[in-house]
Amino acid sequence: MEKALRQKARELLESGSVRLVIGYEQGSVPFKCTPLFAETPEEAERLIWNPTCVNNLAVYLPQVISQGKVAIVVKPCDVKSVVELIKEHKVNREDVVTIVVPCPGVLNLDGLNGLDLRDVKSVQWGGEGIIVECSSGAVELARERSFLSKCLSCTIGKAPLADIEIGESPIRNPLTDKHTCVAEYEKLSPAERRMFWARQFAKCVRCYACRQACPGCYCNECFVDKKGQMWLLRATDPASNWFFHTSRMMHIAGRCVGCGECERACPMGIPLTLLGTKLDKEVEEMFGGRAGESPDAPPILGCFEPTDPDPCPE
Amino acid sequence: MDKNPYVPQLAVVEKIITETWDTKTFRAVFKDEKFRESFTYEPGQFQEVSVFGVGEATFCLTSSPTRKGYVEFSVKRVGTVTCALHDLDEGETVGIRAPLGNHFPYEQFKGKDLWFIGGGIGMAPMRSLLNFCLDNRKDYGKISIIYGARTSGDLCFTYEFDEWRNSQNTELFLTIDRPEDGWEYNVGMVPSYLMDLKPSPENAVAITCGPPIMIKYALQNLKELGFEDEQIWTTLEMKMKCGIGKCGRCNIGHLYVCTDGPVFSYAQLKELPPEY
Amino acid sequence: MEPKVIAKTDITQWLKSLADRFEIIAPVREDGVTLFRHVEDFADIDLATTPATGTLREHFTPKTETLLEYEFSDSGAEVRSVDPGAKEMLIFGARACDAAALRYVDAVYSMVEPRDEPYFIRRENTAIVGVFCNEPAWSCFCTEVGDFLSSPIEMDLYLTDIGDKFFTEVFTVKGEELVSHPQFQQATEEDGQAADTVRQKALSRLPSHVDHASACLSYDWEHPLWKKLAQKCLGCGVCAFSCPTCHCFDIQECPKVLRGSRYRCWDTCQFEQFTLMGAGHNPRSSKKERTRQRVFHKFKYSMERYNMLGCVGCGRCVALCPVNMDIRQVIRELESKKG
Repeated sequence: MEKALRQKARELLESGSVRLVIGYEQGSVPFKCTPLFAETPEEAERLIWNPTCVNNLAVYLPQVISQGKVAIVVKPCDVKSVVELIKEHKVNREDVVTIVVPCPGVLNLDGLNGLDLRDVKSVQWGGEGIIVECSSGAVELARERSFLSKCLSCTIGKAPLADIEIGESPIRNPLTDKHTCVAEYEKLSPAERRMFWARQFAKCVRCYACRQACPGCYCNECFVDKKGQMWLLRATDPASNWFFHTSRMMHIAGRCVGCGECERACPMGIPLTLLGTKLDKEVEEMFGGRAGESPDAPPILGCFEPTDPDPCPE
Repeated sequence: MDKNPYVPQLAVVEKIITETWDTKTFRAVFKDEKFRESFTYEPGQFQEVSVFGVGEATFCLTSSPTRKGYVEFSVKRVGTVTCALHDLDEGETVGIRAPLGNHFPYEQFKGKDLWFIGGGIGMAPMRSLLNFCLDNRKDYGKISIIYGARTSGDLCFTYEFDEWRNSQNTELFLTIDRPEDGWEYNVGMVPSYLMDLKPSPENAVAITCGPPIMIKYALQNLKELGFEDEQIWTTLEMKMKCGIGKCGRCNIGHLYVCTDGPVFSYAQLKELPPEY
Repeated sequence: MEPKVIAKTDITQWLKSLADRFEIIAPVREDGVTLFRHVEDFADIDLATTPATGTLREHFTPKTETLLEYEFSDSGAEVRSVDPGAKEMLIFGARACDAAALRYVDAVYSMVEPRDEPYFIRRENTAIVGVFCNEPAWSCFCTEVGDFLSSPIEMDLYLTDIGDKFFTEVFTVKGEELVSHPQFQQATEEDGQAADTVRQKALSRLPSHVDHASACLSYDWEHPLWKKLAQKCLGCGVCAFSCPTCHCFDIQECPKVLRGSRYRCWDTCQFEQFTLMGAGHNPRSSKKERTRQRVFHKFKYSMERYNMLGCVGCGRCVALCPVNMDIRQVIRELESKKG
């Protein structure tokens, strides 16, 4: 797979049809990858494709697209972010080449708990999920333990926007439903939900990693940074933290593709995908559409039908 | 905790002078009599002025410490705090944390010819030193002031020009970028006017402040005229918050503009990363 | 003072006896992260996670801290300082890196008068009980930048887990007071040897010292790697807000019409608005400048200004960066021979 990927990337760069290939390369340790911005065929040789490739690289598209055509290595789920960016005219369809890689699921680092991470040599797909080569031998980890939860509910067959497909998408056998994690949450009363989030947001340090990692958050001037109108304090008081997260989520609602980067980036372990998934469920129930599925579909919350549900009380 | 360094002294705005369409100079008097009596500062230092409810911002002390009882700061209306200051009336209360930063090494300047090269509101920090020197006139040699702005309406401190001109052995050279009806003085950018006037570096010191682009060319031209790095002084402006070297915002290399500056010699600047 | 030992089972009793005098702060694990929190139930303490996800910063310069309150009145305005509490703190379970970082922040906040009074009031009212890292994390590299793991600084006591007890080294007068409790006994020679064994084992898994202190003075301003790092850096504040030596803050107003307050909150040079001036000029307008600023500040500028590295090798930024920006790799590349 990696060979085919590198070859395709090399061809694109050599022919000059793209000026940049965004992909993954080996990180500073075997169980992490890091984004690669390959501008030459030689740099494209460093591309990798393995379970460590968790990042949603679509987040980089808005900042690089102005300088010319770009190819981007995307998992089928990440493609949905590209679809949304095209829908919102942040990226022109003709300026991006999606290289879709076949993805059985990517690594949840917590799944490696119990192993001495210093001994890890490589992380590859195999067996029931992932095979971790350690200096003491190989360890097989079932996907329930080693995949991100979004991967356990993945049903994506053909990616909505695949210019180049490296290999075939694996047959999907989801263990859970996309909205399963929300079911437990929905059992909570509003007061319990408020307490839950109060406890979570109290940890927030306002590092904005969630915002910076989100491909949907591309505003040149975010509402938190507006100086003329102080919508919220820069302080981490409960009200400001609450306002930041709920407002950001409302801006993302209908556009969130569930990539989970916000939660992965958060250093404080705040379960942001719970909010995103809950909103995604609400949007689907109310308006029938889901973000990122078709580039031709209009933005879900960006237009309305007279028949849209109106849950406001009479 | 009496020593909370972030709590300002209260001061009353005694006088507001409209300098230009976007610049006002404020004269403020400290409320606490004891503090007011004992307050002293050096030319080149700055202050953090706060409008309660809006915020705090950095302004140089544009008044000279030889003129006691008040402090002055000039404000160009560009952002939230500066706009709030412009909305103040005489008699309103502001907070002031002062004096902060280093100052012009005027002891070193004694006996020398001084060239002040200023553009627009860049004249404000230098005015403190200028009036200080004029109030201690015999300590300094010839004083020449090159002061320019985009238009005549952008010049500040016009009400002091005669005082400067009439001072002993002191010359004022005004210039504006483009010709205007009724303008009797030079037309041209400050750095090129500097070249026309050809100051001699012999026993001289040059002090310059203005928009970054003006400083850049003024520095270049001063070097061309033969000024040594140690003879050229400037005062820098950076975004600041604490003003006392704690919040980490205003660093250029390993120096903080708020404590190691804002006054720097060109010799010092050359050692620093080109990031200002 | 000679080293002591305390049985692990006695720790709770010991902390309970100190709880009248001190507010006990210790690492607690909740929802997958370990943060230093005020604890009352000492069974909650997590000494396994190395290092804790959070730092001690919250307890010396809280992420939000009110500095003053003001009120508009007939005479104009009145302002009063808001003081940090005077309660003593005891931090139990700090790592050597956490404590060493305090020496750096002390230098930053006191080098120029006036010193940062709110910080020092807390600092001077705090006892620190450190704990040795039996199992350093994959991201730890404190031994590369200093030797405080073996010879800790800024601690009152240093506990090393030797099985069913903690070998306890006492460094200060405050530490002597802390161990003057019946739970502590004199350490035996065997205890000392057990501690040595534990120490050696941990050190063998850590990198050796590198003279970054000298090398950083010639880091290349124009190195091609700045552009590369800037491309992948997300521009968030995870590295800064998880760093024990980071100390930068913003000062903002919280207005409520006729009264209000002024507070400070954590800020980072990684945010675009950090150096943005009112009129629009920004000396660090691109990520390239901001990424370079972070590395230069932690290493070169810190050496030049404080004669101390600004990095204690705790590895939090390495572990938490969403895009695997690894400072160890960065400085290795900066220090490698050119050409």
